[in-house]
Amino acid sequence: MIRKSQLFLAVAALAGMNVAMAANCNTTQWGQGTPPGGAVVGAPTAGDPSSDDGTPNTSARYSGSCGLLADAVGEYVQDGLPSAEPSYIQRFYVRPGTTSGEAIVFRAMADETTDYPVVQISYDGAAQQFIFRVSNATGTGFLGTTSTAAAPRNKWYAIETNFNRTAGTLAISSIRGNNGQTIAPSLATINGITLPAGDGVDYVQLGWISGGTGGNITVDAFESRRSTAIGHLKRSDANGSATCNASDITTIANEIVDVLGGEPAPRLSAGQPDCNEDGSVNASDISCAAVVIIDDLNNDTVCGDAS
Amino acid sequence: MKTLNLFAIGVLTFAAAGVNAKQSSVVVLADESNRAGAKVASIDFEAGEPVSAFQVRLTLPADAKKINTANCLADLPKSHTGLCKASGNRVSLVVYSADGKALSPGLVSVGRISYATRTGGTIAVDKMMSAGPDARESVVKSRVESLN
Repeated sequence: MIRKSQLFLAVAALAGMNVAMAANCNTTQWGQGTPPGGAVVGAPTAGDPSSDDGTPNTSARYSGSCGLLADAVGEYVQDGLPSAEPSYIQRFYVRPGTTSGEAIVFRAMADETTDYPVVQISYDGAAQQFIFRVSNATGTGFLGTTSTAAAPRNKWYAIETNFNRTAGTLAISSIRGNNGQTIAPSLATINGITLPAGDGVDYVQLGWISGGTGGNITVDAFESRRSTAIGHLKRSDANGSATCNASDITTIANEIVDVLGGEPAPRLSAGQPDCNEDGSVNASDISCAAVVIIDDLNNDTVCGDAS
Repeated sequence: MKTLNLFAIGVLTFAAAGVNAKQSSVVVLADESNRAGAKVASIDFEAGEPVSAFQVRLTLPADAKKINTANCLADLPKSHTGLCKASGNRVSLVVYSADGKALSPGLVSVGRISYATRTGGTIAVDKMMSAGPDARESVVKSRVESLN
């Protein structure tokens, strides 16, 4: 079912673009295209890392001031901008903390008489791995072929996938995280996807959608496109300048000092200060950023990436 | 008249601000030789304004070997620490305060490195920048001096 004719499908990010908005973390950018069930399901927490800034909500985040914390199953956000998409590229950051069972963290859904997930990404809390599944030919279950990727819990991971209905493939384009590691999935591409005619991605869900127990799940920095890869955000680019240098260290230090000190208006970093991707910004991230900068200087890289 | 006076005051204030915003410099004193015959380069930082962190890359002569960075940051004040790492003939430094404190304007000794070279040659300095306590970036100059 085509929910929306709008062709623009660019960014649906968690709100909180800068320090000034730290007290205003919200989910207002979700719910476009009126997905079934609305923008927010359950009561996930849109929050920032500070508990002393006058806002009641705290959450780890990967980029900017805000993240979305789901501390119970059934807490997630939805976006309905897709429209029976034959090609769907998405990237999100997730910090899975569940300890058992299989928690579904992302679904790209087909909106039909009975909605079904075209793509599903879950986290097995016991095995500490992501599991990638795609729909079978009837839209009532999954292909037997899955892909998995080892991922210790409570670390940030960027996951990018590329679904192509024509080719019948889901490419697991990139998994990165846990202190800058590139993680290889067991299967880089799942082939053989055959959807019912006309079906495609109509809406997406992100958070702790169902399954799994224990801990919590935090998500951030979702982006989706029809074409061209998205890529990951630059780790330790704390001030969001797209480079890593000494000012990022001071940016991280300022955030640490302000949050520890209970400043009412903490200088939260606008970029990605959690260099070691462990879910908190502390002194270890300063040391981590220093290593990234030194390596950039010696190797002519940019935040560890080829320039 | 009143408007003119205010304008004049504004110009003077702007000019004064320009004078105060003195650019910082990395100063490398190169080509000293120690008793073992190795070349030694001393590294200083002249802060033109409050600086909480800075970085710099030194490119030693192409044939530089036995690069010793053990004392690269040895002279830093206690408020600051950093990393110093050699890779090939490059030595990169990043100096910072873990709590964002600033170095006061003036000359700060950073440390020294030693290396061996047959051909001599100069040290090139690049990738310099500094950050103030507010994490604002500033351009940093460099100066390489030699005893020879």
